[in-house]
Amino acid sequence: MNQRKDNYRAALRREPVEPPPLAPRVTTLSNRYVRVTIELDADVQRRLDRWVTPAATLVTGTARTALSVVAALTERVPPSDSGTRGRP
Amino acid sequence: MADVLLSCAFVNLKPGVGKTTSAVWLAHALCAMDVPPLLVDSDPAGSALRWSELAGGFPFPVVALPVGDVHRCIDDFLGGRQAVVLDAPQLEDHARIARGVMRHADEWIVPVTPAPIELDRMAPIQAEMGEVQSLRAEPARTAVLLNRTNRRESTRTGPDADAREVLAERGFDVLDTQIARLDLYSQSFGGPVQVENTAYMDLAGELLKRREGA
Ligand SMILES: Nc1ncnc2c1ncn2[C@@H]1O[C@H](COP(=O)(O)OP(=O)(O)OP(=O)(O)O)[C@@H](O)[C@H]1O
Ligand SMILES: [Mg+2]
Repeated sequence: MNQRKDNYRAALRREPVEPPPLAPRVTTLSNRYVRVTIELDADVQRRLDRWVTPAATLVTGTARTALSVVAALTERVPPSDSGTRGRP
Repeated sequence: MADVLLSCAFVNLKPGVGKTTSAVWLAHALCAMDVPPLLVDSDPAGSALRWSELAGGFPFPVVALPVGDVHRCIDDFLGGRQAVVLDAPQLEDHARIARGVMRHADEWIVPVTPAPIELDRMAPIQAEMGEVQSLRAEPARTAVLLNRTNRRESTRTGPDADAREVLAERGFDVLDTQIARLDLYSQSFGGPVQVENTAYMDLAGELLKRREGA
């Protein structure tokens, strides 16, 4: 038995822990006049995901706050028929 | 791609495995064998280009192309040369550039020290290589170069022989030539390279022969 060889074997059996980096996405648009190839770097998607999630949270958070402000304000407005309208 | 005899790239996930040292020495060996190459430095660190500057120039051109579309640019610099040697940056930090290099080169050489901490990165490299193969019209040949070995020649026992054996078990093609851990190489950065009678001459011969056999 060779302990060193076993160590080497164990090292070589390592599973990839992180997902392998994505290959770029390629889209082509071609017709008689133009031919366009778009190569989207896989990192762009990751960066977008990273950016979009907090932005979406911010938007929903802001919307929720705005609604509660509106709700609070409408509660404070006196009912329209109990006003001073009609008084001389 | 233009019809070159040999386009080989040194690649690894990790930095510091001997890609630049091997690329520069191999390029000198090819030159000494009358196959003057173009040396492409694709590492943003620019060590190969800096080496040639410090050495007062190499007997072949060196260009820095640290860009993702390096595979599309190289032919513009070939000028009829028969060989290209590419120094790729480490995949884990510069995946896009390293992949561009791998799209050009028809031989990928992975320098590895026969030690468990380096062998531990080989399975992820294999996965990465599989992905890039799928982007190519024809698959590239791949080989492992044992670098910084304990002995100059391959032996039947010892860490070098054990690494050779287990790498072969996992389906890696290990080159016969191995590069010993020597001051000759570790002290060579920045100076002119005297390649005659070194293992890099054997490496150049072995790579040219592999190309013929392909
Ligand atoms: N055969 C060898 N014998 C002794 N030292 C070596 C050998 N090959 C490389 N080295 C040394 O190992 C170190 C790393 O080598 P090198 O810079 O070539 O690796 P690299 O993979 O290009 O690193 P990086 O990713 O940082 O560019 C350097 O100090 C170099 O001199
Ligand atoms: Mg380097």
